[in-house]
Amino acid sequence: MKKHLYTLATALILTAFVSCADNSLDEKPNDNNFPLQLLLDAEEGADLADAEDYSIEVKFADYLPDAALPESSITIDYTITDLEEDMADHVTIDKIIYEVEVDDCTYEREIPFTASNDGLSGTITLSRDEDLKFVPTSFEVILTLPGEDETKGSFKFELSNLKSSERVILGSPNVFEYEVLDNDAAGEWELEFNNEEEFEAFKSIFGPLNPELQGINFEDITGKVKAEFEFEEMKFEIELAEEEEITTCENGESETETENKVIEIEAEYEAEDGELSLEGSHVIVNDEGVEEDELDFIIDSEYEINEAEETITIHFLKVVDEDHFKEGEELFSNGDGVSFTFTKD
Amino acid sequence: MYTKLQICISKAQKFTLYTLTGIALQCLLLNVLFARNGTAQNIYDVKLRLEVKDKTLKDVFTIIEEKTDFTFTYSSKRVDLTKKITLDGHHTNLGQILEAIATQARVAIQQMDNLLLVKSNLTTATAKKPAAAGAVRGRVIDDQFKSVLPGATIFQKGTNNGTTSDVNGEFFLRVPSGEVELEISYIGFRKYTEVVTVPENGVADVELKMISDATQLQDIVITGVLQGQQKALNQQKTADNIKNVVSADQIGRFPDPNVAEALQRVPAVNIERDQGEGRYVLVRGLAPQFTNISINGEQIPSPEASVRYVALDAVPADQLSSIEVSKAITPDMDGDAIGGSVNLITRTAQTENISINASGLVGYNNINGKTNLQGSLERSQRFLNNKLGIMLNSSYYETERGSDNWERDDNALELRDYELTRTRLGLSSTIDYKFNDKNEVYFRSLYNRFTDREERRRYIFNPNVDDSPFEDNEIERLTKDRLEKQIVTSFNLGAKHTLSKINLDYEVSYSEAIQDTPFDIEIGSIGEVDQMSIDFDTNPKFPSFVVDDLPHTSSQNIYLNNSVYEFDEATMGNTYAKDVNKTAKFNIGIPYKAGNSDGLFKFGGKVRLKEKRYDITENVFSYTGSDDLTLDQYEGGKVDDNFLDGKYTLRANADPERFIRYFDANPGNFELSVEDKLATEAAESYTAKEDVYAGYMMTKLQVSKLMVLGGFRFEHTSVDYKSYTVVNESEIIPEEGSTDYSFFLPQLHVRYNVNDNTNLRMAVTRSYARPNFSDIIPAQEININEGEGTIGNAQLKPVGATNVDILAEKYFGSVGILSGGVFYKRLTDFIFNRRFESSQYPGSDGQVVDITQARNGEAASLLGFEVAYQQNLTFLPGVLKGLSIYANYTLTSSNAEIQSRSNSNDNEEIRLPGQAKHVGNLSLGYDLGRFNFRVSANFNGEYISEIGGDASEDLYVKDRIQMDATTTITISPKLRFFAEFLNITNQPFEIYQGQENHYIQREFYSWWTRAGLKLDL
Repeated sequence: MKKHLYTLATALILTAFVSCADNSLDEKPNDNNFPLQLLLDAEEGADLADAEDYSIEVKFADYLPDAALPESSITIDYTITDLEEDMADHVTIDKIIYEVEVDDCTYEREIPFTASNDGLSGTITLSRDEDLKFVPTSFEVILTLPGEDETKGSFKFELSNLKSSERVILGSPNVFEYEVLDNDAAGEWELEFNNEEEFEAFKSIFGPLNPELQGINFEDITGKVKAEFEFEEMKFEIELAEEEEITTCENGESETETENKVIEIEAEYEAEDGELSLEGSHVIVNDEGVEEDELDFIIDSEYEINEAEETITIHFLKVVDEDHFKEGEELFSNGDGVSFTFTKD
Repeated sequence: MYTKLQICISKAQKFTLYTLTGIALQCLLLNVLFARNGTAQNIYDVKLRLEVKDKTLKDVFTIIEEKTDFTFTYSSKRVDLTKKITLDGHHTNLGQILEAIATQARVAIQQMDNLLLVKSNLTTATAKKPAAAGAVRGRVIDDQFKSVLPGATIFQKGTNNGTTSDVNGEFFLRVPSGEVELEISYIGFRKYTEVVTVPENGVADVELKMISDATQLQDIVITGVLQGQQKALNQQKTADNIKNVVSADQIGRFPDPNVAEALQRVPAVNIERDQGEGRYVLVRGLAPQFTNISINGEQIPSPEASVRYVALDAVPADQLSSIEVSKAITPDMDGDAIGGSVNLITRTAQTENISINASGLVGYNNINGKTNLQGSLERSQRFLNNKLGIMLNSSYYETERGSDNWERDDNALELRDYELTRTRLGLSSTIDYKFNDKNEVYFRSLYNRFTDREERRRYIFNPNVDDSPFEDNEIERLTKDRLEKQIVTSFNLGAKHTLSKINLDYEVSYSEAIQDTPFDIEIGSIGEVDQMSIDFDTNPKFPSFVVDDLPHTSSQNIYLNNSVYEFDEATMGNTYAKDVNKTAKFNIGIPYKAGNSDGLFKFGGKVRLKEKRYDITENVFSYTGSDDLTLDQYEGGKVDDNFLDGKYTLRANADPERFIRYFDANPGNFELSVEDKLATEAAESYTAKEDVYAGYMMTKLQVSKLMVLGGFRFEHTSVDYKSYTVVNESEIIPEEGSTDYSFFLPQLHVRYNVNDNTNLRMAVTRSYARPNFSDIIPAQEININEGEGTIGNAQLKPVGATNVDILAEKYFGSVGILSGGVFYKRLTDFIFNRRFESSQYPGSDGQVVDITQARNGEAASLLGFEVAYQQNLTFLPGVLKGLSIYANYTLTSSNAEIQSRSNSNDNEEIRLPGQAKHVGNLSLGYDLGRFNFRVSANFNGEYISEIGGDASEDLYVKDRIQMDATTTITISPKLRFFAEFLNITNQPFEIYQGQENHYIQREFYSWWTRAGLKLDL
């Protein structure tokens, strides 16, 4: 009897030990069940007052390469709300399009949608594309805008109530706020270098940020420089003398054009009360010409608009990056500033 | 004598690391002196008169034992105890009386200290007759406690023919048939002889019962603790190679809850700790990968993905009968052990009586005011007339502990508050069946499950010290919650056959080790403040910081306001690593005679097939929701109100469970970073196969007092692996690779028995260490934008080593040892991590990036000296005789040549990473009857943990002395109470960079205690 009691006690204790449950954290999102998200590409955007339409991109958030994309239809409701000033009665969906590439040619196809009488709400139906074998992974909603030179106002575009038989949810952002681009630097501006001295002055500012620019001479450029200020982002395009052929194929029609090559310097910007601050990143190239690092940069400058002559004059004061920001170590510094005047394009 | 004692005590007062050796030598001198004084009187000097008439021999022996300090020992089978004796009383001393008894009883009586050995006079004559072959098989046990005695020496008296009992106290000795006199010796026990009648071509079974040596032990109460020391020292003394043995009973002598901590008491062994608990073992100052870990002689795989070595905190000590640390390997052992080989030996059933061992402990962890508990239960019994043995063992340990820690990374200060729950479940069984005296089979199984649930709460203060326009004064708040399970399972099926001319044993085994992390979540939040400064200099041990001009002790401080921290990212994932070994091996031993010397020729082979893989899932989510998400919305959990003794104030951090609830309810507000996920998972995951084929030949020859063991081992290893190269976190390229290498490993061991208690040993051996899988697989992760990457090195060679060991051992009858020796190791192709610039890597367009890669160094050498002293100081007068001392010290110096970090055309000498110059233990104990008290100090010298870009960036783990105390009360031979008090002085784990006052980590665990009962039925 004693023997059996020992055996029983041993078995009970062993069972108790083995059955000790781990206090696991119940983590639901994982590779097997994390859903695809359909969302807006941006939370906000803006365009010039005279813009006649505006395109909002809707897409699936990044997904795993082996994720099964939806093949059955997805419906999603939209509303256009908070229409302010000139936007009232003018904003509706013009069309919804997506692109498919077949045999190296890009085809634009439309996505059907239903709209309410006032056009401010409706339902978009995303269906399987026969070439893709699944629903489009991104599409653009093109909205009509007033298109007047003095247009003012804003509105919101919102997606909601996504319905799908597959594992797809509405992601964030799902609301897009549009406003008229109201900073005075917005738009496209053009600069023409008249001599090598002007180009070298430009190079002294931007050369440290772009190894290709640093390596060219006045003879290598056409002299044209474009400055394009959009919503929060801008870029300089330095046109090179060298040309290249660019072939495109859209909707079955192939076209080849000869264009000048350009060097681009991109940055985010803030323009307010005559102060212009540019922030971006640039690559560092070693003596052997190979890239070895990428650093953030900041350009401090001031600007003046001459509305009569439709020009913008930018005084570049200082260029620093993450490794060269202390006094005396800047990539470029000039207390008086080096100025360039761009003309409205 | 007293003067010598004073000198000894005086030396102890001036104790330093460097004088440990001196103390030990001093005590040896004392011991020799006392040992001489303690020798028993000559029987002719013992005054005695005895008058008896027709008393039996047994009665006369009893009378003499009552009147003197002498004890008779004899075999009742060989000596006729009923023989009548008459003494007329005219003899004046014991010698004359014994002569008269010998004549009348036809016996021979021999004095051995206080032991009077009685033999039949017929024995000698019979033994001289030529005889056919036979054998004696048996077991040596402690007559008082009925426990087996491993490491006992059994010799055929008057010859070199002998053997030692194994871990189960069993032995097998080939002898001539007929009557054979066996002589058995064991430290702490009376030397004993027994005459055995061996059948022609047969086997005689004997059970040799030994009686503890009351003379040497000076009436000390024999407890399990002392038994443990006896067993360990006897195994060590009789071993063919240089080894240290820790018996399970001995583990109870120190307050060591796991195998790693028990091993830190062994000379020249130090350990790496995790959260204050020992985890990895470093033998002779060499990093953990230089030591292999085996269970019952077979290597166990590592559950961890990137390394080969095993975390020993996953193994409960309760399921072991002993631990062996071989510092010099023999040809029949695996060759990949430069530092040493640790063998964990599980238990087997010993007797037909039910044996039950149980223990239960509860304790308190001061750091968090939580408890710990431990229990074990073992049942073993032999059935079917001793043929079938079954042993079942289980143990469970659970502790809720933590640590308070600060770290420095360049200019950033990090506060880390850990809270963790660890459990350790061990189940093991041994089933053995002895068909007859010559054939047996066994099946051993072992299951260990270690879980570690860890919650880590961090504050990272990152000041913008350069006032850079690109940076802010940031405070990062992170909470990590993860569960890690390590499961080690092994099955061994084997057999042993003792055939007429050979011994054969063979075994197949399967073992697997899994590290499963089912969830690993870290939630990060970031806050920005206008002003922040950190002062690391005024008090380097506890840096101070100021945030927004307020000192950090103020409760008004902005950094304690959780609403200023915005959600940054959440990392969620899991990992799974699995390592499987399938092994088959055999050994054949052929005894032979060379003149008057006995020898053993042995050869064998082994195949081990290993498969290892590592899978990882890592999802990093950013927040895309339109509403602000700040820390105060998901804070919770424990707040440590006394963090680092109240030097810093903390607030509630992110509560993972609360955050997960929000996350699950709002999946659309979080975006997965797919590119990072694919890059991380591809760069870290791998599969590998490693096949090892080994064979060896060796011979052992005992020539009088000299034992020579020599031979060689050949091991061939073939490795195949699959992994991925990741370039710039986007391009993923599958990679495959393979390598193979062979080692020829000659080994030579010499042991000279100067006398019964003194050995001189020397060993010259070759061994090697395999590279870690994470270093050798061709996985590569290059981030061109960040200009850095890591690359596996498929060309990485194993480290080769030539080892020379010289050791002298003096064992004391009072259960103790003084040993001292030197060791030298010459390493070739040692492995270290190197950082260098390169444009040569897959996917390169010529960009130069900083590559970190494991490389082979030129050569390295270690020279060390170790001394160990342990003794029950029974020779001291009065109450002082209850004192005991356990001390060891190892001094090691190393130098390794690597490519210079300042000039790539040059070489540079460094200390081997992981190698501590000073390692030692000092433990003082006191026994008073059934009461035992012990205070122990364990010293780990500083060592380099990581080699930096230059010497000023090298990271050092600072030296550390941990003080522990334990007390045992032997309530009855079957029941013991013990209590333990660990890390009494709250010693921190500290790392510094370059200079000693440049701390970069200080981690505190506070003290913890345990108390409980141990029952042996």
